[in-house]
Amino acid sequence: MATSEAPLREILKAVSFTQFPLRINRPFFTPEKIDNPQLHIHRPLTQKSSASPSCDVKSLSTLALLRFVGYKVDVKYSSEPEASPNGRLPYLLLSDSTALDARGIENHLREQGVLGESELADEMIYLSMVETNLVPAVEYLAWIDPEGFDAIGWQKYLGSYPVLIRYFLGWQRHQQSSRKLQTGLPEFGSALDGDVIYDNAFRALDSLAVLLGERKYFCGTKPGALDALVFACLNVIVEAPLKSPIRSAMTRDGSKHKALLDFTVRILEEYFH
Amino acid sequence: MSGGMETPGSGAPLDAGDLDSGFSTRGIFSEAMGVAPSPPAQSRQPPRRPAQQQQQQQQRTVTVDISKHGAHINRFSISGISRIRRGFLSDLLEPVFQSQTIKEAVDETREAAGKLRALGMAKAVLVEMDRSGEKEGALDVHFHCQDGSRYIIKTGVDVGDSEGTASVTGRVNNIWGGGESFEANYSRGSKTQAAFQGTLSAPLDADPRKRLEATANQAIVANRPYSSHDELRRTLGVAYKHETFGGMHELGYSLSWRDICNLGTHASPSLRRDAGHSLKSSVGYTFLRDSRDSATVPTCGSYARVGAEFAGIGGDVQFGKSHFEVQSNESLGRGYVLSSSVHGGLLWGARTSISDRFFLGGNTSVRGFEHRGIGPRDGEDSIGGDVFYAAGVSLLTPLPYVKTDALKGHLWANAGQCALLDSRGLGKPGSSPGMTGEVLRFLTSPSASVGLGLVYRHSLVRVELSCCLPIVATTTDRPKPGMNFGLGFQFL
Repeated sequence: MATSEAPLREILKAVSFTQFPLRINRPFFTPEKIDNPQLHIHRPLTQKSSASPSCDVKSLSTLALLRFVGYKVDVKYSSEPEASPNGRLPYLLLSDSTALDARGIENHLREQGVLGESELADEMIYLSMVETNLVPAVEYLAWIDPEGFDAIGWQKYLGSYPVLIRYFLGWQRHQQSSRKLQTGLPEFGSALDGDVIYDNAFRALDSLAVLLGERKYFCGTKPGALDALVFACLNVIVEAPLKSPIRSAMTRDGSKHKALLDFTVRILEEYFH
Repeated sequence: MSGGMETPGSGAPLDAGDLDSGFSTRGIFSEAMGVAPSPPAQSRQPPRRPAQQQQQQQQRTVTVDISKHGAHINRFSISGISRIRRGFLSDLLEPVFQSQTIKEAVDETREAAGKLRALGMAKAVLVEMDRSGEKEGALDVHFHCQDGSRYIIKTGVDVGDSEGTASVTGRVNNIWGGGESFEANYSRGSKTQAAFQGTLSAPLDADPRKRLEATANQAIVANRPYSSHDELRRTLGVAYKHETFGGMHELGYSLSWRDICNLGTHASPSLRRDAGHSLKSSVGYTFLRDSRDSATVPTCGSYARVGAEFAGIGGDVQFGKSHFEVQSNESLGRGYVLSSSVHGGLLWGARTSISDRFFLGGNTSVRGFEHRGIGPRDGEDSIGGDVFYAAGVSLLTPLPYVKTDALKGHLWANAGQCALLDSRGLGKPGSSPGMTGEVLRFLTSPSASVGLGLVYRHSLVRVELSCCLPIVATTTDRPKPGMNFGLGFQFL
């Protein structure tokens, strides 16, 4: 039975704020659709397509890992690390617009079941060794060594910026790398010493050469995270348009690190061409 | 000079009370009248005439047209100012020394005294003008000045456009004796996290209405609640400002380094596209004309602001940008005021950045919508538009039983729309029947709202409390029906 309250409730409902707006129109904006996950890696926009995919260790190792596990991505080249969630390239953009940084990508791969346990029992130890000894050598080459800074830091990392910003960011990055790469204990006076950094890198290469031996991959029958990281470090060093001690040592005839050079070329041929 | 004296042709009495500064003449007008100057007061004999004759004597009026009496300035002297450049003084006094009549001399000296006060070089100026003892028909002028404040430091809290800011400002006046000033300001606010600005200003031709300014500023703007990013902006600029009776003109160049940074994990792909560093090198022109009786709650007058900016002289940003803002206020009598305003803007370039785009929506923009709540939106991020328009009409009404004029009733209606011009917006390929149809839809389908409430006029800011009813919106807009509180200077 209709009561006097029912019409009143209808009236109140009609004028309540939940009824507004009264008319909805189609928007004037359509966002770009992301059909496949997009991996944004560092590469200068002026770089030729036939060259190595990236001059950035982290970008190249992440791309290599995704190629190893067969995770399909659309590769997008960028020179702007600020677009990444953690301010550093690479980052992976999923279909739901979520962005994952490098660590988030590995976790995502594990959650998807794509990245399983490594066949190499001590992979974490070797990864730590490479990150502690070999990656700093690449960073020293790109941001501290004068010739390396001109060829890699200035041209490849900062090449897309206007001159004024290039100078400031180059100086800023040089200062950051200088502080980060200082060796020795702070209480005894740490210092930036290129010779020490390269010595540590050579020791790491010696260990890796022994680990690789006659095998195809470091991690066993199929490549893993360690293979990706070592490949990225060595590829950046070898592809850099300048002579560095590590490159000279690897490319010299009869070098004990020849196996590592062959490994790098093999990975490049197998997964990137 | 005491009392008033009318000058035929001028229309207005020349009275000491009307002058910006004190003005003193001795003997000039006596000579102009052709009578002997009155003797010094101490030697004057008390009048012995009958009261009626004395009254008739006092009521006698003599009219002298000082615009026709020739005179020129022979000597000028100034005292009381601690620092003044010779070159500046020459520019300041050039019109004074070019005077040909007494009227011109009086007008130009008043103008010069006013300029000294406007430039902050003197707090007050007493002008003394007398016959020159050296030349016939010549005048000597002396400025007695009270020196202006050299250093000023002030702190304050500002509110405006939905943002509260605390600031410290230091100012140095008359740095090199020519009216130059340097002002440094540091502020922190709810939206602008930290901002520093330094401005060096100097007048041209000793005229405070013509200024050259050099500016340096740095600001961190927190846009996270609306667009998932922060923006760091460092800007250097020079500008020429010229104030005329028609309005204020400003022509300037700026070099701005912008950094879109601190993107959140869930920032949209559109925002990530614009992230990073960019260098804008641009020239811009702005014209401003404001004849309103109040900047916050005007009851009459109009306001017009038109600007254009072109970027691409160096830097890595190229665009052309124009915007306009017009407001008109009409008093209908009995305390009713009808206001209307129209805004619009256009940004065109190969690839525009979020740093340069327009945003619409909010309590000081189109009411009834969240801040930046109208226009292109990717996920939760408002990314701005390349073109926008907005219009508003308001009726201010008196309130019953409220005696103060500062509190008024407010009925309003706002509408506006904002869109991108690229393939994600109005230039979307395949849109039927093409871009023209989409543009027509853009122009004829604004997001709109109506409402009523109260307006309070404070000397510094306008306060609004409104019941907002969004009428029309798009699916990506953020309407905000209900009671909204607004605080700011300029409202739609």
